[in-house]
Amino acid sequence: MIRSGTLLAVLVLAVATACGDKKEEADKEAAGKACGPAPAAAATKPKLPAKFPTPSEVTYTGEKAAGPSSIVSAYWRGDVGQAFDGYKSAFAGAGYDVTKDEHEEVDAEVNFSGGSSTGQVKLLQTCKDRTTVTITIRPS
Amino acid sequence: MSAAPRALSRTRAEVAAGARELARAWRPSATIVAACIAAAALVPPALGSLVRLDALAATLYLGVAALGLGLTVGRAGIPSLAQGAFMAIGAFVAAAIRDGDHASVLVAAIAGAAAAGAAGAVSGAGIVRLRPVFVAVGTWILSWLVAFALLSFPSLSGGVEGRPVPQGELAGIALTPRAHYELALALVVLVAGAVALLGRGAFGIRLAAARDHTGAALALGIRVVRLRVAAFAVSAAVAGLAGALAVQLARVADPTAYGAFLSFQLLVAVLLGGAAATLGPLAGVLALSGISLAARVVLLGASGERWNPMLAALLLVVVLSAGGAGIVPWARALDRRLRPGAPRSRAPRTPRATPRPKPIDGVKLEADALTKRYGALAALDDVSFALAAGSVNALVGPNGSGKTTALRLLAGTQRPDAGTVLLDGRDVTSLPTSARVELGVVRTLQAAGSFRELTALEHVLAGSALRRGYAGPLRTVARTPLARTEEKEATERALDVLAFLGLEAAANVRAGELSGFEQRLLMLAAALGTEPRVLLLDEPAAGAAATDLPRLARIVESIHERGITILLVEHDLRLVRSVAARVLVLDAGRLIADGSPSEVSREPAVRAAYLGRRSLA
Amino acid sequence: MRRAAGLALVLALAGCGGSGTKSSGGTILIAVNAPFSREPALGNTIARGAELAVSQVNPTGELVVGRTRYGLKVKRYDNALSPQRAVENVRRAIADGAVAIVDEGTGIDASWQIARDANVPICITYQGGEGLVDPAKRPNVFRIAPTDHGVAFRLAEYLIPKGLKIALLHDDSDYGEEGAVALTQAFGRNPGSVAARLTLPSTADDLSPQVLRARRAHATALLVWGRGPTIAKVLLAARAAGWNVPVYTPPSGEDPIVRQQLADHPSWVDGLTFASGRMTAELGPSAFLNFQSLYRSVYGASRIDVETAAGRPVLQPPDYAMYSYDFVHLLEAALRAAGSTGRKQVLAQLNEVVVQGANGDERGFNLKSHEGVVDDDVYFARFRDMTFRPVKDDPLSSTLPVIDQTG
Repeated sequence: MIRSGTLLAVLVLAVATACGDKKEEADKEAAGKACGPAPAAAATKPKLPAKFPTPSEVTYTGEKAAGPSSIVSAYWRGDVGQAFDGYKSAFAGAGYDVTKDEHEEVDAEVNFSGGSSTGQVKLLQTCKDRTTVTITIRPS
Repeated sequence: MSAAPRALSRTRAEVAAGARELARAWRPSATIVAACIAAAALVPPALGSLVRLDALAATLYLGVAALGLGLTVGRAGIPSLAQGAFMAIGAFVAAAIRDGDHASVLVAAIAGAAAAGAAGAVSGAGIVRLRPVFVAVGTWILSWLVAFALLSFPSLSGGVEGRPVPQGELAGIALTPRAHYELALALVVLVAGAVALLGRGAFGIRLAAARDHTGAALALGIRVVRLRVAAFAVSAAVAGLAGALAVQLARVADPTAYGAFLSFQLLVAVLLGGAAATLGPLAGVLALSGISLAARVVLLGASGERWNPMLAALLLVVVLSAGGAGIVPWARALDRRLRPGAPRSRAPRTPRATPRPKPIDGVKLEADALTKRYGALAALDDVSFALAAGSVNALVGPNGSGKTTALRLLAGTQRPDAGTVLLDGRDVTSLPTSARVELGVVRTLQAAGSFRELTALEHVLAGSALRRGYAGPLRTVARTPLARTEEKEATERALDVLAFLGLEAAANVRAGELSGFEQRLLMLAAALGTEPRVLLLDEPAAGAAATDLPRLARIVESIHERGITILLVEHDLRLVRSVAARVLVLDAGRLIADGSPSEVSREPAVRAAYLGRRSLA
Repeated sequence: MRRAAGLALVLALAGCGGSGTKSSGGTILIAVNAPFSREPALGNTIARGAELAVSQVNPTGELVVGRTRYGLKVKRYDNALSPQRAVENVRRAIADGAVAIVDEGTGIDASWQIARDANVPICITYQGGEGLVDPAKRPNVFRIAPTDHGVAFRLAEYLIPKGLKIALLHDDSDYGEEGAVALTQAFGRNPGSVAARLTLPSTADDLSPQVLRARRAHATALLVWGRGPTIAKVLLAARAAGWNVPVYTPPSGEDPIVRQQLADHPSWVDGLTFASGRMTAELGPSAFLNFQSLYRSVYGASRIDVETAAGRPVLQPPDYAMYSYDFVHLLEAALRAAGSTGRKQVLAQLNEVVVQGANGDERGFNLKSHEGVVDDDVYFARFRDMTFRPVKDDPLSSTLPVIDQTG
């Protein structure tokens, strides 16, 4: 006789796994679709650390403060693989250190250090030729 | 001969003299110790990777601190529970100085030792005046204060993470764990040697005298407080040195490693190994480490360490219950039992022919209107008299008449409420006992007692130490030529004193093994060692058998023949009659008679004072 | 016929040589330097993570490196939270032949050099203080644990936009003092958000005076950086005074002792929010749940002696065990990549290899960074009914699933 508690735990486990997996599936599906209109570019250039690279494929769409840090949003014209490689080489060229990087099917992260700051470039391919870029910049 | 070759020649001669002295003093136990040191020095090359040299080195540094504590606990009788605190001071001062590798290990070690020594001197100035139980409490509180201070001031101590210490070098050699082991071993040998030399020298003898009978030591002019503070400071400096080097080995000054338990552990080690023996503390540390290691093995590894405080406490109870002697004294006692016929270091000496004593210029001692009150009671009331230089005088009177009070006032043990004491016309009323002893006024005590752990020879040396100019601790340890020469002369003079009193055969015998009368004679010998010009003898015949009295009388006569002024307080009127040319009679604090024995015995007041029960006639 | 037999013999011999005549190389030792006597729960968590990984690496009892078979073994060394003891343990571990040390973090400032001289890597799996890890100056020190810097900045990023007036409280433990430094850095640019800064004596039984001072400073939130007991005392003081102020903490808020000490007032724990390294990955929770399942199959579920309102026992997830577990797998990968157990080679390979961590994330180091948990992997979780779940008002946390914590 299965106890109700155990059954509940198994159900929660299944649901949690399913939820997580469902989100991943949804992201992959979206990444394969054609892109709609691009978000509007930001009126002013965001405040970035010294020599922070801006590859030509990047268009900034906004910036907001989050306490001591700033969060810059942008998009890359291309897929997540191009964005990932593009940012890594851009950082190398700008004298920034890539402290960690991770590249999965539709998302990637590149952590950086340099220009008296640290942070992360988070990439998520939202459609076939566009990858959203979220840059978190923290002062060192 | 030019200066350099002359110096070289002298040095060679001194080294040869030192070697001869070492050979003379060499004993079988020294061979054992030397063999152990040699074996220990060979551990790194022989056993190398099989043993943890860093742990062994840390144990040896602890042994150095324990050896220093042995001077305080064993020789001075000060039960200090602050040795861990002084190690902490040495460690953190050294760590602060080594910060950033800006200063050398040597500078840091010296600074650590100096800081700890200074802390010992300052704290000791207050602590050593206390009774032993309060010394233990006071030093325990000091340990806690240092431990709390380390945790409360993280900017000094590095907080819970401690202060990292960079690897250093000494004389160009990188201080690896192996180098630390050899350094620690060398330090153990040096410190043990220094402690042994100090203990046997004038410094140690006087410390031990003060430990065994503080009152008698004070009466001999020994500056007890100063000596004890010096011993406390030296012991603290040794702990500071050990701490400064141990922290270099540990590579981090960790505040949690210097809790009050460390001081307790060191005291237990000293008592376990034997406070009275030079190497006892080291033996105690090694024994404690071995027991701790066994506990870790038996009690399943890491958790075994938590049992250390309990084990240390249990061992202390065991040692104290078994008499408190310790491992090394027990081993010696066992050796004596197993080899009863073996030659001992404390064998009786063969008496020599009694040399003729040197005459002394006795001095005039005067009491002018001396008064001493205890509340409403006048112990001494307006008493005046003058003792002619070189005379033998007796001070008699019923019990409670003020005789001992008079002696105390003359010796400087107490201050009078009124009146003056004059020595050869000089007012010495405000001078303390030690200063009066230096001027030649010495008192023996009324109460029976001697320096039980000292030999007869050491009794005289305790008294004669103040007349020596090269008997300081540094010269003693360094064994300078002047110190050695003076020591030899002092020993010869001391033997002369013993021979004078018929005690030369007992020169190497501990006072506790002699009869009561002989112990009283030893205190007289100690007084004679100070080269007095005035002797104040308080009831020397108390407790003596009738058959001893003639011998005592001859001794007093002999002292008189040397020219020393004598004031004898006695109840035994036969002795008084046989030696004193003049008798002073006190009754209820007042001088009621002063004259020859026959004159005084005819005084009605004297008869009345004694209620007619006795007569001087 | 003879030719066929000869060919068969040659093939057989080739087969024998080719299928790995491996020699036995003994045992590879991994040391775990942790406060087993002073903080047994933490020490055991770290050690169990390492031991679990070892049991996975060599279920058959061996690890093949190059052409040599080795046994893999974990040995525990108790540092009793003493830096001196921690340094002695590192020396002992090296003398015992350890190829790596998993360290709680006490005494690293002194012990790292001794390990470096022996080319032994140390991986910190608990303490997050700044300065402990520096790839340039301390090439043999690594960390897999959330850093104080990361936690403090993420807390600032999360709380300041809410417009709160935050009282920054830290206790006087080493953990609290280091946290205070990190908080000063994180909140230093937004002084208007800070209502008060107070030090809490960790030995005090009652923190009501300090909590009252925060209240009088008009704080609308408390950020308490201290060990578990301190956090519990702050909650007790605030709630007993009827002050329902939100309380935020670093990872120590997750310490079971907070819930244990408030077991009589479970509603006072509700709303307590802590920051920690995330337990699950973007890929989903399955990796962590597998890890948890494996952990519990060996060590059983970690009951923390409190219950939900429905009377269900609360279990502690083995999140901190992940870090030592991941390091052992990294070490295994480094050993295989080095093809030898030479310490120098293994240390070099630790900057190259990457493994999938217990939560599914990639775990690895490089020459520029020896931090295994980046700042951006810090998430927030809030307690309700004695269990916690990721918050919904943080971009990262809102993507993370709830992990069941009841038995």
